[in-house]
Amino acid sequence: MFENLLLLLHPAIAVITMLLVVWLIVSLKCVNINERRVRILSLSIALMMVSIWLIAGYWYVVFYGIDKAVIVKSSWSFSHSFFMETKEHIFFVVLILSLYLPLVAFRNSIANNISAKKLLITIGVIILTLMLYIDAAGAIISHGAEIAYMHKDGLV
Amino acid sequence: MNTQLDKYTLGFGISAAIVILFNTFLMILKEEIPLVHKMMVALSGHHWTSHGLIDITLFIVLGFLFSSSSIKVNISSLIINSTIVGVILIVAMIVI
Repeated sequence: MFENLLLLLHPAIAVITMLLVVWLIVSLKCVNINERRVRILSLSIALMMVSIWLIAGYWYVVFYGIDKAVIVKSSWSFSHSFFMETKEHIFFVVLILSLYLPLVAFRNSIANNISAKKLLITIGVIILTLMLYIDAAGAIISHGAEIAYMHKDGLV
Repeated sequence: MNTQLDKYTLGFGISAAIVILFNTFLMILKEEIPLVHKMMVALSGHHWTSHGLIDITLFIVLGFLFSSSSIKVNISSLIINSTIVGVILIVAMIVI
């Protein structure tokens, strides 16, 4: 039960974080930029990402080994060998960039600094793109596990 | 309108680009050299936990190091943006 809750919680937080990133990008595209909103959004994205790191990381380190052993023996072994392997390492890129966001937002006057604004938009777009990939990879791994367990139980 | 970025923005921007590249090389090293993998497991109990901790520590250390650099440079957001995007593309090519 606990591991299933953790498993469902991390993509749920990830989707909310993606929405916050979209909100941040849209806020930066406004003619009159609300600096306070940009700073709160940047900080929230960083904190959400750290919470994903802790929750998903705990699940991956403690519980994933059992699923992995079944997945790698199935016809969908690529869902681990390619998608999990890329997802778990691309996540660190997203984490680093998310931690960089509030630093840019708090150390510069976003409303009056075109460079800082462009930098935040670029980082936001990169985070969003990579998170979409991570999300899709998660769905493929989940389906891989489903097929692997059906195969193991002789259902396919 | 101001275009000058704060020194911490520049320092940590360069640090982010370096750590993203390092993250990929560490992944390759870990996969190719069993000793590296073993050492990372010994460090925290799991290679992935060590990988994350090394990345974050390096990001903070390099960030402060580059921020405190006495060399005053005028780097625009275009350079930082291009560097980060370039590094991401290189990493994507290596990983895929």
